[in-house]
Amino acid sequence: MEEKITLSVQRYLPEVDSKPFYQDYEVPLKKKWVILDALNYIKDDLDGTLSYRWSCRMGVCGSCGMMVNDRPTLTCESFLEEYAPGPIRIAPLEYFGIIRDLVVNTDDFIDKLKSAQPWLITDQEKPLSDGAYHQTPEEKEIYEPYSMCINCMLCYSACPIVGLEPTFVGPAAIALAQRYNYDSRDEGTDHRNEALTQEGGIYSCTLVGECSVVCPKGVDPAGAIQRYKGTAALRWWESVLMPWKES
Amino acid sequence: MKDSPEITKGEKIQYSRFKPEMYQPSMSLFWWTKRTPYLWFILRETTSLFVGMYAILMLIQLNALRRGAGSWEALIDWFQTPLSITLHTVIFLFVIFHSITWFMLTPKVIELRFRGKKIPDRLIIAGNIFFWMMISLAVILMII
Repeated sequence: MEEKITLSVQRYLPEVDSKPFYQDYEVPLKKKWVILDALNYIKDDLDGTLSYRWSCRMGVCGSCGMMVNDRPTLTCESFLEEYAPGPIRIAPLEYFGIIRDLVVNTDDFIDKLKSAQPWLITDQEKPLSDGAYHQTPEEKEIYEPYSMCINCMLCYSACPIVGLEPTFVGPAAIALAQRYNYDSRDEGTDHRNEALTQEGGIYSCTLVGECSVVCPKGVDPAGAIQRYKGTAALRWWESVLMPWKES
Repeated sequence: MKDSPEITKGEKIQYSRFKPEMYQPSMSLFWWTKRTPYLWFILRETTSLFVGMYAILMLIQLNALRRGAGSWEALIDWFQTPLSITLHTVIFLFVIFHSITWFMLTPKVIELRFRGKKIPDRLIIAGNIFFWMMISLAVILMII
């Protein structure tokens, strides 16, 4: 007989109940199945009303992040077997508003991401005739780890400060700001400084450190935030001791 | 298995953002008991109070010095009571815990490179702890 495992899935159906509830589903415990495969099995064969986000199935798109046994997890990367004999508790990402079942509202995250201006900023754009911006492998190595972020928001669900302080810009947005601050082609540190140092910026972080632990791409947002605290302190001293110097 | 609730079909649906209602979960006051790393974090932060207690003890000592020999002798006598020894031991252990966990975090702030290569985290922690030990040793030698 085929082995089975129970998935206890948090459901939220606003037209039925004003509060979420848990619903159990029994799925085949297949060796090659990840949690996302099990959810797709539920959707296809057991209960078509279950809602959740997913796309690439290979840890790149960052859509299928959920709380698995209370831990922020990419469901396309987590094998059912690792959780045997179960049951596996699946809930939407923590601290986000829930739209339906496992689907969370990402608007706030997108706004915070934009506020950190995670794109290349240059004072003056070079004319095309000047050719490409050059960068040495060493220069690339400095920012590369931070560029691995896939915006899956697991770090937000791992961070209690995100839940306690709704204005906190959050780990991924700050790590991505640092990704560009560290880029030798970028001149936008001053532009990003305000969003990073105002209320809800880097100083809200108390270094719980779990953002870096749960990151499926090995980005270290906790490190990025602490290092910017150092940079921001230096900038402040510079502005006090050398007020004539333009920041 | 529980049947999923019936969804009314065939109704004309008018789409609008987050209709009927988005659910906003609330955060428990005891969120830090949910996962072991959170508990460690709270422990690390709370033990900073003991670092403060050491500072208060230092102020008490300075105050006794200011008041003169009699006051100082009385304080030294009190330091030798079982209550004071227990208090000092507890404070000492928590301050050691706080210091070690604090040094464990230093690689998050210090990123050093040698010949283009990142110096490993463990080396940064070890280096910091080594300097801490050396300074402590120097202080102990000064007192003895």
